[in-house]
Amino acid sequence: VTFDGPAPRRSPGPDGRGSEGEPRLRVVGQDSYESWDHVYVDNVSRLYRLMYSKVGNRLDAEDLTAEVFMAALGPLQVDLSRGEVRAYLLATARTVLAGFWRRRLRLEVTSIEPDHEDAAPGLPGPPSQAPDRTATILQRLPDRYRRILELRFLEAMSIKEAASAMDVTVANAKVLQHRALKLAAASGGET
Amino acid sequence: VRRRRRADIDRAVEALLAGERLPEGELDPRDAAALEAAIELRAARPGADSPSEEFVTDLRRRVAQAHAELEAETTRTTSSAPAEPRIGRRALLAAAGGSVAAGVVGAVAESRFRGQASGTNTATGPIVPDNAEWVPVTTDAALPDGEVQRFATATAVGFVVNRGGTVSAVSGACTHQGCLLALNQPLGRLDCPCHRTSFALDGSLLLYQLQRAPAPLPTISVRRRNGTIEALLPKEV
Repeated sequence: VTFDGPAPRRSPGPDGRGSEGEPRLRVVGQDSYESWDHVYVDNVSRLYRLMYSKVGNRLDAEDLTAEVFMAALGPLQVDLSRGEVRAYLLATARTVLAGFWRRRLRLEVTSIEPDHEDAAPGLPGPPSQAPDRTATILQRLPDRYRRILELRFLEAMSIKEAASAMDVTVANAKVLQHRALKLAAASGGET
Repeated sequence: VRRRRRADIDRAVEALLAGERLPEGELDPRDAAALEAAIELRAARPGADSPSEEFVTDLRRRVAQAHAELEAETTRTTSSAPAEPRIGRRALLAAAGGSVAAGVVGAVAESRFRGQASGTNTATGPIVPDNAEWVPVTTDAALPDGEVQRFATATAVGFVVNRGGTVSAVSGACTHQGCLLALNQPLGRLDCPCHRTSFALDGSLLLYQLQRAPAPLPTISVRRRNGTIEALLPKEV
């Protein structure tokens, strides 16, 4: 039952909500989605994973994923082909992410490439390559740099614990971590 | 400045490690790659990138709801330019000629909080119950100039306001889904507890985060009578 608000029922007027229930389904070709719900179900995990890989935390990734769907909802016609729908969602994701970074830290830390994967409709998306890549990057670092990142990112130690494990001061551990990340960034760029 | 920005990269990395949202700040461009590396390391933890069941289910519901609202509206506004009346975002996108690039970001920012200016819904006007009676809701003494009071009867909830000696009242139920509004005293507005929607004390829409603008609040007729303030409300059945 939809609540109709306090407006008098006998004047439907511009506020005449309440009758809308199920999203309207369209009859469509094979290569398209049947409804917005299908679009959602088929794309939500992929978009979330993409966003997560770009912001590294669940809450922001959830917000961004939601933002993409809400932004695409109006303009996107479901009876486009799957490929077109996905391309549109991806383009939306790209601009949503860019806006996120500008608002949050004034510069774009990560971005989504225009030719980002997504060529295989219907498949659950490839498993993430990130762990392998990360291992490679870590292995390339000098010992102490690798160690601080392992302690903090893989073993989830606090900066204090990591400092103590490495027998350095907290201030030193912070500097070490900062340099290690910069170095990791530089060596990551070479792959 | 450099030190503050340095603090921003440290805070961002600590937030990542704590699993929190990235904090707002101003990142030194020289630190961008370091933060990117930290994000990559963080995101690489096995299983970290699966969305939670709860999130997926909840967003599915929100998307369905927003979609239903858009559909209903499209049906109502039938013919003429579908892009125009809904929200600014659509107009922006239409103007961009199908290219998403420019449109969406402005769109998203815009649809989040917008003033009432171009909402789709026009005033719903006063509540005029078929079967009404004048019901005392407060007294002159209790409602000096500048004061707002909530009232609730068996048939209605509302807020009665004294502005410069003129008393008026609006419905106390949000026009989106009927959640009961709360008086935000410091800001002098009515806030919906459900979806971050706010109305002015005259019922006009101030803020909303929904896909389309909820209607303004219906007004309620009020009058002064022998020191009491009465509202025209539906009779209890």
